[in-house]
Amino acid sequence: MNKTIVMGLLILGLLVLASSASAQSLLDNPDYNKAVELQRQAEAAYTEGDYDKAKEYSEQAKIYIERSNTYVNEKLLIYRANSLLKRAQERVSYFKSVGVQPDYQGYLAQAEKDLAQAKRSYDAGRYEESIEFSKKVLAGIAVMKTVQMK
Amino acid sequence: MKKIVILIMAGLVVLLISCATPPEQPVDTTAPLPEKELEEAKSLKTRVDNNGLSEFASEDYQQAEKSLQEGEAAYSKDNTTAKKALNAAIQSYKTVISKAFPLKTDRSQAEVDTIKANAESLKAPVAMKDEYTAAKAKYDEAVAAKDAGNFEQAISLFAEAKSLFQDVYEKTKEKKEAAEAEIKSAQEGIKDAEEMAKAADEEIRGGE
Repeated sequence: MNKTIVMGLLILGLLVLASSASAQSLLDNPDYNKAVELQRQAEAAYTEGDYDKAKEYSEQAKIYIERSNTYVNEKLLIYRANSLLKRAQERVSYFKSVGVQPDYQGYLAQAEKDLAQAKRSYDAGRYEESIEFSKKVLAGIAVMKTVQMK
Repeated sequence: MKKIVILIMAGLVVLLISCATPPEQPVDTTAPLPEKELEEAKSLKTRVDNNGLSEFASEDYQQAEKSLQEGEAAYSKDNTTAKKALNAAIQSYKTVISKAFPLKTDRSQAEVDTIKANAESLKAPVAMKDEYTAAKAKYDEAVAAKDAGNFEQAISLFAEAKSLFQDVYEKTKEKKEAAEAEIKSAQEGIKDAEEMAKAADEEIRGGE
């Protein structure tokens, strides 16, 4: 009986953990939290009549909002770069595994080069550049696919 | 006989002429000039006018003005009448002063109370602490002068306090508006950031 209850609680705990992890937002970052806290302080200072402090807190809050926005944009950029890189890797792997007609070997070779460049750019944190190379890979692969289907 | 008739006629003419104009009133030329009274009345008038007291005791003021004019008109012609009129003017001006100063002081204080309350409603004691404290000190000084019966001093101090509170009020208002603008701007920034993050979250979750 006790064992069943313990197991049930364990499963419930895991479910809660899993749901909180999936519900995690990009807003859960220290800069956003700091901005919100500063804004709360600004409003409290305003209510008290300390307008200089209120203004100062809100000015600081805006700085942290900017930092939070930078963080969110960067995370989104990383996600986009990573997604495109994965797709590019999958497509190249697929064509390598099924093989391509000899006339289009050059396309595959170029796609592999671009993919390597996309990976290098990604690892170096040059995500926009990585995205461009991944897109190039996918565009080349799209041609190859058409050729292969003939 | 002809000479007698001419003399009688001449006498009648002289008699007629002398009866045509009334006899002049006897003028008191022995009374001294009421110089001190004139000087005091004029000095009191200046004090009343400079302090703008006439509106607070207008009937007394009009009486004082009338008496002063009468005194000046009779001055050096009928010094007894002049002295009497000037003393009346002095009395009336003193009445104006004793009635009007407390009233004017009350009005001055009421004006400061209004602007002081306006500043306090904007929380000036916090927003402009030092400036508010200085204005309040001046106000307290004015109240103390009023309570001590030093009305002229009190009016002057209330005027200074009013100017200080006016400045405090305006600067507090500026600070309040600046803070409101900044808070609003930051609030909008937070809202935009939340929307941006939400869109990013949805894009990322959509791709998972």
